[in-house]
Amino acid sequence: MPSGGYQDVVNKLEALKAQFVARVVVELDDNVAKLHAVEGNAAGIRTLKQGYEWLHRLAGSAGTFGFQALGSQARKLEETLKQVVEMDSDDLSGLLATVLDEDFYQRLDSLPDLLKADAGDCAIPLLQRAVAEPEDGALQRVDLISANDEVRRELEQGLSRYGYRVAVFDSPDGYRRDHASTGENLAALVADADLLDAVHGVVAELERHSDLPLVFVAHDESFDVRYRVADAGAGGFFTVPVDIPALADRIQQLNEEREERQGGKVLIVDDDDQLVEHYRLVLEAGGLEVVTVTHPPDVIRRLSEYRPDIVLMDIHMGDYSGINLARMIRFQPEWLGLPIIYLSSEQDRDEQISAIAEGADDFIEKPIRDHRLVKEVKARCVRARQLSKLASLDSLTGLLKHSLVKQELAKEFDRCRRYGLAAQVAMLDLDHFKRVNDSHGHAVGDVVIRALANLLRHRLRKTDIIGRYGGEEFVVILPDCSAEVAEEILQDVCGQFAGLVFAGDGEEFQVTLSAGVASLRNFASAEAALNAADEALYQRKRAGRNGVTLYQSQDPNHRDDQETGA
Amino acid sequence: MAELKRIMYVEDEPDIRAVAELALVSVGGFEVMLCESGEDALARVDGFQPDLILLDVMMPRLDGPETLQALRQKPGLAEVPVAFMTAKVQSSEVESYKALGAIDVIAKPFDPMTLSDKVQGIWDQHVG
Repeated sequence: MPSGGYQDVVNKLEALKAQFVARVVVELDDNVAKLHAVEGNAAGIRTLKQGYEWLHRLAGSAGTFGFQALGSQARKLEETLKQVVEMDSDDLSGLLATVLDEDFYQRLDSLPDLLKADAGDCAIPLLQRAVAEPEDGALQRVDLISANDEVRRELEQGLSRYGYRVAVFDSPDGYRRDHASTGENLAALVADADLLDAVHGVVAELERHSDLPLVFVAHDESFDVRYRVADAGAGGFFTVPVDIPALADRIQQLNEEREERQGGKVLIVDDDDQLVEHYRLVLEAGGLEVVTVTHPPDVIRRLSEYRPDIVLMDIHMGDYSGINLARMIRFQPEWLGLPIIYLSSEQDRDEQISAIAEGADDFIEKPIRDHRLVKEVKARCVRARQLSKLASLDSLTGLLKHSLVKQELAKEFDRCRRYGLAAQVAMLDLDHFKRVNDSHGHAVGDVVIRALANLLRHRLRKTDIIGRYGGEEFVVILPDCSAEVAEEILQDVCGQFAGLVFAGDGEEFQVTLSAGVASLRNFASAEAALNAADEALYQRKRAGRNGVTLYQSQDPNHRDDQETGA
Repeated sequence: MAELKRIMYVEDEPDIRAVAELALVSVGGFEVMLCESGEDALARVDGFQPDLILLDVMMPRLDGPETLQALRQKPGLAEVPVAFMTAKVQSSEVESYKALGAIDVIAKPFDPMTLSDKVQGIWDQHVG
């Protein structure tokens, strides 16, 4: 063996295997649910095709990693679906009913158990991840252009503390020449306002997607400079020396806004098959995700499976009235806030208004030009997302609210039970935070809290869940993660956070952070795990703060020692 | 006897590409170019000049047999040995793949520790 030796290859294989497991666990949940949603519904042919492709990939890769039973069951399911996918039958519903029978779903539902059983056999190690790796192994990047050495150094250091990878350039020409051709993971371009015109030119030339957040910094804060920066389409302006927490915060906000503008999930309810198909194609071409319902009685089930941002509904559908369906949807409290938009040829304004009065939110008149439809639907999706975010996110930090963190924790707890995986929950608390508020005021205290929220967002993976539990307390849920790795990651967060310098009343100060960690699977309930994390946090506070403590059970029979066994 | 050094591996599934890289590079010591699609392979094959091409059969858009056909049209590639990688290895199918111009068929899933030996074996038998 040429390089690294046998053990090296085995280790690398194990790591790949662990990545595979972590991904398949998520994919299984998603795809099994989607395939159940199709049950006998001819409109689901696209979902079936996707399911078929997914099963094909799973069948191909599972065996490679030693999951023989999982691979061969996936292969059988793939072959079952193949008949449907390759068939151009007039009676698709009839065919679906015979193929997607009880046996099919039973076998489909057995996949998670097969994964678990095989994983038990070959002792899958937990997902080994680098400490500062948000996801897909790539940190979010900020490109920085300034001719000033000091500005470059300060911003590079400051932003990397927030978990950004900073690519530094000393001139727009250098940027044009050297910059990696990809805009992937690019969170923002930060540049010196002295170079405004040249930077603007390069950005236009590189055809960077027009929505890339652009931020300028300047020594000069005159009206003229600010105006020209605004004219260049910038999303932020900061004077030197730059307030780093505020800059990181602005970059975060700009990226959230950018994310909100993208995509959207639409459920179309209409009994006209061809029209529905047309809308679907138009909206999908416009970058939206679409699920259709042509049989109105399915609507409630589809809603809970798909959880769309908005519903587009025809008013008159054979035996069914859209108005009654809207009213029926509103029977369920969870759909009270869901925007329902009528899509109808009704042109009488009075009729439209009375339809809206009956539980829908808006009216789009048919016929409508395709590009108008995309615009109208997109705008409503953005609005709907913003509203639902407002309802579920903490307004100061943009993290999950208390009640939702607990919901997520309960979900993760069940998932770990089902798949025999490890996950950690951590409680975090700012040290001596009252002193910050007392000496610098609540506005400065809020900056500190937001800084921690932003730091957590960048240091953790997208699949990790972060919530503000109250006051200066945070909860973090780390799926597919051992206690040791969690400790390492949070220790790193503590170190980074302690290094941030805040400004209050002409005086600079730093704040430290304590954390307690508990393993979900060592406890009988999500609640108990959270209490243990809180207990560990308390121990940390007593032991001198500024760091991480893992929960240690007092009971010698407790399973703490089996933590990394998997 | 020609020596097998450079292998092009065309596979749409990233997991399998990663394992194949380990198997062929770390275990086998070959020089390997990984391609994620038939199109990708067609675009990069000239720059790499492989001794042997391993093709996944079922890929979206250009599948294995189509990729093989397109490769054969390229100057200098009419004769390059190609083996298919597939889960379906009934003997009738193996024969039909060979009829398309493949020298052999390798069964998936493969064992990462022995894939290189298998590939070398095929090479020795058909080419070397």
